[in-house]
Amino acid sequence: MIIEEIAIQNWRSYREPHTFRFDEGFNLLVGRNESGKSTLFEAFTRVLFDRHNSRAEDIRQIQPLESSLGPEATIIFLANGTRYRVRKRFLQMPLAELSTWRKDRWELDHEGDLADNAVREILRGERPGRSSQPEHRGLCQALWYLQSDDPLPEEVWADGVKEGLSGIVSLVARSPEEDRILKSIEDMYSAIYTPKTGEISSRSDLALLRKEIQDLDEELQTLYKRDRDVEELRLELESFTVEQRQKEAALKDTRAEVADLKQRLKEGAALEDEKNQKEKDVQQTETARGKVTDDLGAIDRRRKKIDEMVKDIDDAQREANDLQAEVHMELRVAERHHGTWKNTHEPKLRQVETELDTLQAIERIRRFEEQAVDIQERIDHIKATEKELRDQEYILSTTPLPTKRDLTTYQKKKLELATLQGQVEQAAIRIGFDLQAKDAQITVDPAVEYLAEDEEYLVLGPTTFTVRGLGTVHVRGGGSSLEDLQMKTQSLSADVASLFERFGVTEEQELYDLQQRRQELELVIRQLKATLKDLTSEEEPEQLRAELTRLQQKITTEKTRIGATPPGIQDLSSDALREKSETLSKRKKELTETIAYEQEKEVEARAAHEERARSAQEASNRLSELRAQVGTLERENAEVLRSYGTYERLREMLMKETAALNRAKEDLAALLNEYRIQVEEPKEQYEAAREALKGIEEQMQSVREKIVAREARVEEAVSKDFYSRIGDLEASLDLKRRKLTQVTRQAEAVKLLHDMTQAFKKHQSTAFSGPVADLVSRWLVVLTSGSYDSVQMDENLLPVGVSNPRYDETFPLKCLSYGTHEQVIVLLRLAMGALLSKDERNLIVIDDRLVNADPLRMRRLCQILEEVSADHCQVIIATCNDTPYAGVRGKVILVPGDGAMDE
Amino acid sequence: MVRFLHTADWQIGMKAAHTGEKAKTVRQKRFETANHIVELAEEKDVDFVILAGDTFEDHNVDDVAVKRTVDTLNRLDPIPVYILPGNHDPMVPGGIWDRTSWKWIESHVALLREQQEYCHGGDVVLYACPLAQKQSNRDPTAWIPDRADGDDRIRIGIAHGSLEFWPDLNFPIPVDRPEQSGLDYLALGDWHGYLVSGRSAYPGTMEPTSFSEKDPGNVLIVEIDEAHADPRIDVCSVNLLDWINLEPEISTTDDVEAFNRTIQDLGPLASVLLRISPDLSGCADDGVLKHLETLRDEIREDALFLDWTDPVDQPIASEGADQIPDGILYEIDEALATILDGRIPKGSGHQFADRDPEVVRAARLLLHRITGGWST
Repeated sequence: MIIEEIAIQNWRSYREPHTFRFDEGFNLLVGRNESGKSTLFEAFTRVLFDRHNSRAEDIRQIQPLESSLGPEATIIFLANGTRYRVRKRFLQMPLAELSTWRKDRWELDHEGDLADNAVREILRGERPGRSSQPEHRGLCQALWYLQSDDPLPEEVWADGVKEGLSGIVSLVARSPEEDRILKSIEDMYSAIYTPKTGEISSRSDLALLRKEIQDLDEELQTLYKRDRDVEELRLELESFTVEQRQKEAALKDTRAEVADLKQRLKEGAALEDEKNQKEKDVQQTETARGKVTDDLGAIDRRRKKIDEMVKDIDDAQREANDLQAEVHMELRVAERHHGTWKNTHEPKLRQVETELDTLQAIERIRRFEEQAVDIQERIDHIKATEKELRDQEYILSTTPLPTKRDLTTYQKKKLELATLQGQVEQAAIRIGFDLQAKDAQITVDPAVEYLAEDEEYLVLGPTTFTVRGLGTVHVRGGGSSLEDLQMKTQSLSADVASLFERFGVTEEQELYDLQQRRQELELVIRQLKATLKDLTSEEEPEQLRAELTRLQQKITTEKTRIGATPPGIQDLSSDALREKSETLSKRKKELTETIAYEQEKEVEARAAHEERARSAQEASNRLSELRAQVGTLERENAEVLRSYGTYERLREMLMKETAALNRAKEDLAALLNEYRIQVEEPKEQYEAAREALKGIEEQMQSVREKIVAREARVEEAVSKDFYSRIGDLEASLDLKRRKLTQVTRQAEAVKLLHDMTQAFKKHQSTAFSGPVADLVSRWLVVLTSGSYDSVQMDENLLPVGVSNPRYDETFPLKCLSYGTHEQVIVLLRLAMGALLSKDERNLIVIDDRLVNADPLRMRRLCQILEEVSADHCQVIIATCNDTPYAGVRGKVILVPGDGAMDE
Repeated sequence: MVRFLHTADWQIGMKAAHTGEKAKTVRQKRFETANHIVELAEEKDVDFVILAGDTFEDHNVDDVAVKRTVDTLNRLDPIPVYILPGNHDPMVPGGIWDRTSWKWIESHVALLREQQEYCHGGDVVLYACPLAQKQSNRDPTAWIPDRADGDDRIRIGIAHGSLEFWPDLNFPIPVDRPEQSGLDYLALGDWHGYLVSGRSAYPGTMEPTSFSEKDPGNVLIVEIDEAHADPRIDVCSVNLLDWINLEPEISTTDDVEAFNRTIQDLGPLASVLLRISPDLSGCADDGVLKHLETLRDEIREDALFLDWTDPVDQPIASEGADQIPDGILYEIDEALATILDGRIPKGSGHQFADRDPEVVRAARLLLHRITGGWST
């Protein structure tokens, strides 16, 4: 495919319509930066590969600033020998038109989406999701090296590139028919398999069919299991049925046996009667003999018992006699003890007690008398104290003795008087006479106090001094205050004098002495009162006197009681009395103890006596009882013997009955053997058979129940449509399996075709990589002056390294300098373009990519470009500097200047 | 003289799983045929009916199948019916004959539970040989007593098993059992095709059960004048469905035409089940194969059921074989052809040489079909 012309307007910097025409060989777009070179390439991709109604962000950006007009471009291109014209407008009133040049004119073939798709079909592009990317551009991905594109795809070329390459390599023109078939195979493959893993897709018919078969098979297996369970139940039923038959047979046999035994028992009935009669006879004989035996035994037992009891009676008699003797002995001992203490010791005790009593009375009288004397003394002391108290109180009441208060009053007035006298002294006029004549006599009227120390007179009132020989001095001094002080002083002096007078003293000391006298008197009185109180604190004098009286009475009583006291005793001293009394007391204690001992002995003897007497009584009772029992036994024996006559007759009777019993038993034993055979054994067998019959009937019932239960389970399991459901499932499964065989084979066939097309394509790609590498290698030698001599390519047609012949080593592509790396990429695209264009030129676009080449390499690159553009491809190169390309023959297009304005 | 209807192997309730989606129809038809037999018995005024085993396909058949069978047999009243348990429905505890739904059977139907004589009137005696298990190598008729001197009753044996001229026998029955035991007629079941051997006879199943049966679909009306007289057997066809197996050799268009005529001769195909396995070993003409495919599609349209089996080495017929474009597709086709030819292809194709020939064939056929415009 080559582009002949592009008309563009409302597209970025191309607001006005511009048309650029291209040569089929080399085209150099020259323009400054931002002049619109890349915009033209953008228009190539948008118009040829984008949907016209796309509103993707990339497309919205191509609208010129401040314009609402839709970006629009028309491209005329040659492909497959046909000239096409495609016109597209984006965003505003979008449109797409594809026209074909036929017979000198354009014919509109498609519009809208159809036009979009048709262009893509022609260029083998792919339908983009939004706006187109390099991988959507078919071969143009490989041949156009634009500013925004990566040098190489990261993994592999898009299918469009590979298909284009393989088509070339096969040297057969790729036909739409081949495309269709390959696409069909791919569609079929992706309908069944997951492309990435190559495994069967879970959504494919094959997987669904397998799942259906699996489900059906599972259900069928469940039903088969049920079928087997039913068969097992039937087997159980069969075994139960066999068991039932066996039981029935056993039942029949047992019933027959029971009937037979019953008949035999019937036949043995007479024998049984006879046996019963004989048994009865034996029993009666046994009863009769038993009675005789019992009687004889009873008599013998009683006789033996009587013998034993007679012996017991003798023993008891002896025991009773012994006991009686002991009774008498104990009684005598008791009486002896009684006599001893009653007759001997007790009178002695009475005498000692009497003596002791007299002595104690005398002692008491003497003690009472002493107490009486003591009380009398206490009465007298009280009386004396009372008299003394009264005397002292009289003295106190009759003698003027100042109280303590009187003394205090005196001291107070005395102090007050001294104070007043001081005040008078200060207020008084002091007059001194300093006369020439020392011996001048001075008289004073009235007299005033003369202060000898100061040789001054103390004048308190109008006073007249007469100095002999000199004359008279009248002094009027003092004034009213001095007079008052004088009066008060006089009044107080009068009070003091009065006090002194009251107590008959003249001096203060006397007053103090009197007060001392009063205090002493009052102290004596208080002491006397205390003494009196002590004396009467326990008993009042009256009580003492009563006590005295009572003691005197006691003395009188005691004296009366002892009456005539034995002579000598009265005169005994207290100590002698006490000694005698102690002796008597000791004697009394000894006698009392002796009496107590004898009494205790008496009590013991009497208790022993009573005990022996009781035992003797009991022995006597026992003896009587034994004698009564013997009598009873003898009477009983006599009673029994009365019907037999004598004891010997009784013994004969027993022998006779024993003989009769032996005969009866022999008769019975003779019959029993026959009875056992004919009756007893059949009877046991009959019972056993009946028991067995019952057991078998129960077993039968159990088996029947099991059978019924199993039958019910079988019935339940097979009812409804169990069997036909199995049939339906088997039928369905059979159909599905057949279909699966077909579908599987078909899927395998599809896979085989797919695998083969992949293998063949790969083979072709691999075959193609050789020529491409060869061409790039040849150019690389030229370009690098032999520094690198070949390029290595992988199976995806991607260069992986270049070899350096000097070091005989291969460097990874990424190790090359940026400039060299880019040059290799450009050479790769040129080589692919050259090889793809054997039948038809293809467009190679290089957007300003060789700016890093040095002048020498640039010259050589220009040679290569000229070769490619001359022999194989249309080449369009954009640059802002045309100098390096000066040597290339071709068309130079100035951008935007050469874009002639269309009309 | 006695006249009776002898039938056997009704196989009621059979699954017919190999008839796919038509299995239900096939099962239903057996009831219709059973009703047809009832009508025939009444029409022929028979003295009794013998059902010589395998009335039911299995003990577990659906209740509804048992009930419908009971209804059909009850319709024969008052004609006595003697039913023998066969190897599919043997007399076992918990088996089909103990099913609740069977208990509705009426008194004119006698289930021959025991090996014993059953007197039918004073002139005819039946010797029942019921089976109590599915398989055995014992002769079920061995118990039948010899004819006693002076016994001039018509003696009829009823048994289910295989006459001893087949190998690997289940319930073997001596071919000369009638002669050995003095039977006038031995009514047999088990063999699904009509077969008479001396006084022994199989009526065959009343409706075919598979493609491999020979002469099925009949019941027998048997007349015996007196003891020792030869029985007269009238074969009556009763089947509603035909099961036909065809293996036509197809080489030319004429062969296809001839085969078409064979199909036409079968009459309406709505009651026909077909199994067709064409032999195409001599066919190399795509046109013939296409013709045959068309015929196949027509038959599939018309027939009740078609089981068509293509031969494993079927030639490849396709419209697109010569239209494959040059390039890799052409190379792939050549490689596939080489593999099918038993050789290893050169180049990229050699890695596929070991693929299953059936898959290779299918792949090539698919490639041709896609080329010819066939699409998924």
